[in-house]
Amino acid sequence: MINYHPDSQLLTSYVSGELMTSFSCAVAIHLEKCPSCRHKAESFIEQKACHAFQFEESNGDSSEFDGMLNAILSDDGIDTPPINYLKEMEIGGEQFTLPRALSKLSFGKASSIGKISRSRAKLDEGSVRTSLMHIEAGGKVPQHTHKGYELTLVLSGKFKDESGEYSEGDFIFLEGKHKHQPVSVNGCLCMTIVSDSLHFTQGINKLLNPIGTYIY
Amino acid sequence: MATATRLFANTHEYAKALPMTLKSPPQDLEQLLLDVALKRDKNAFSQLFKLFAPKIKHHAQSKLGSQDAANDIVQETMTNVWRKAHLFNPNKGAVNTWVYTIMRNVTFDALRKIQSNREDVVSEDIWPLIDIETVKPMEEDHLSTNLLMKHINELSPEQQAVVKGIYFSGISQEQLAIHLDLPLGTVKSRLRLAMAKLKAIGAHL
Ligand SMILES: [Zn+2]
Repeated sequence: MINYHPDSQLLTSYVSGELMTSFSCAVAIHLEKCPSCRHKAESFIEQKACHAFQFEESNGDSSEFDGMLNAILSDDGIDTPPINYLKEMEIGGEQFTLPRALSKLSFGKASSIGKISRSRAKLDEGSVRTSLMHIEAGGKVPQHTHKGYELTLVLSGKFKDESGEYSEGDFIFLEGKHKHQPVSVNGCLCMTIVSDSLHFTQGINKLLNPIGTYIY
Repeated sequence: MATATRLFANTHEYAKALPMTLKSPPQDLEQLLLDVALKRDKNAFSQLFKLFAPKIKHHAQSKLGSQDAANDIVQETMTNVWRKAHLFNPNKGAVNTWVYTIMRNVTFDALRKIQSNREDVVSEDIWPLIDIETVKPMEEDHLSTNLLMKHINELSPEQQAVVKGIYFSGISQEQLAIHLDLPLGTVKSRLRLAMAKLKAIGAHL
């Protein structure tokens, strides 16, 4: 049972393609596991599409595109349905098949401390760092504080902290000053996105693709 | 036998949400896109192109700022519509939404490239265009799909339309009969003949 979900604002930005890659992947993985959010996202995208493509009586002049149209039509080939290969990954001595959204990302070599192993995704998102975190059965993440925000998405297994228990698909977004101490009795694999940037941007803007926000 | 009402059930609902000034109702868009998918109809594509290209440019310009970058988005999005039309499944959503999805993916990859200079295309993994079964690494599968496509392309255009409609667009034989304006029996026999021919030329089905 999934108890923690991305909020509607996050889902809307997700369907519009405005989130940075790390958050887009995390929301995609949650949706794969969560029918109710999937349903919501579908209605959001219908609204977005409806808004982007309102065809009025007078459909302006499209002659500037004539050359483009001819170029497209001159090649009669079609694309075969893509085949998605899932990525296999070993972390913390266990073998995992990663969700489809992560299948083309590259990850660094895992580093371990005690029962905690982390492998960083190579995403170039500045102060925003994305990684896979594996907690071996009985493992404890030492108590820590975040200044920015932290997203934890459970990919498999369970963990708990002072505020509750989390299982596969749970999307736990924490921001501002908070302390917690995750513990996993039987082991788990999570995707985490952490920002400890001192330059705070408020609200949803901090999760958006910086180029997109820059231009707006 | 399916009726046109059932076939268009979801687009009717969708139409309610659209403004009254709508010139091209979603049913027409769907017919046009299916004509592109099943018959490679250039005239149908041109009509879709003229409707969508200016809107896509407007949207892309607000995202990317420059005219040139916006034109690239229009070109890539509409090329995808032309080359992937057979992957559109009218039972899964409206044409508007499908084109939006393609435009969003193309724009996302373009922004990502500007931002981090990365050439890898991840949008297709985040927002897959079709629900395909994901497979674990095995080169053979990829090869056999390419081979199958080669065989399908050897069929007559009429047979291709039936095979692509049933296996790629995922519509029913009844729906296909309505779209191609053929009796159901003809669709069924064309499909049977096409499958027999595929087997005969050595396709693994
Ligand atoms: Zn959810």
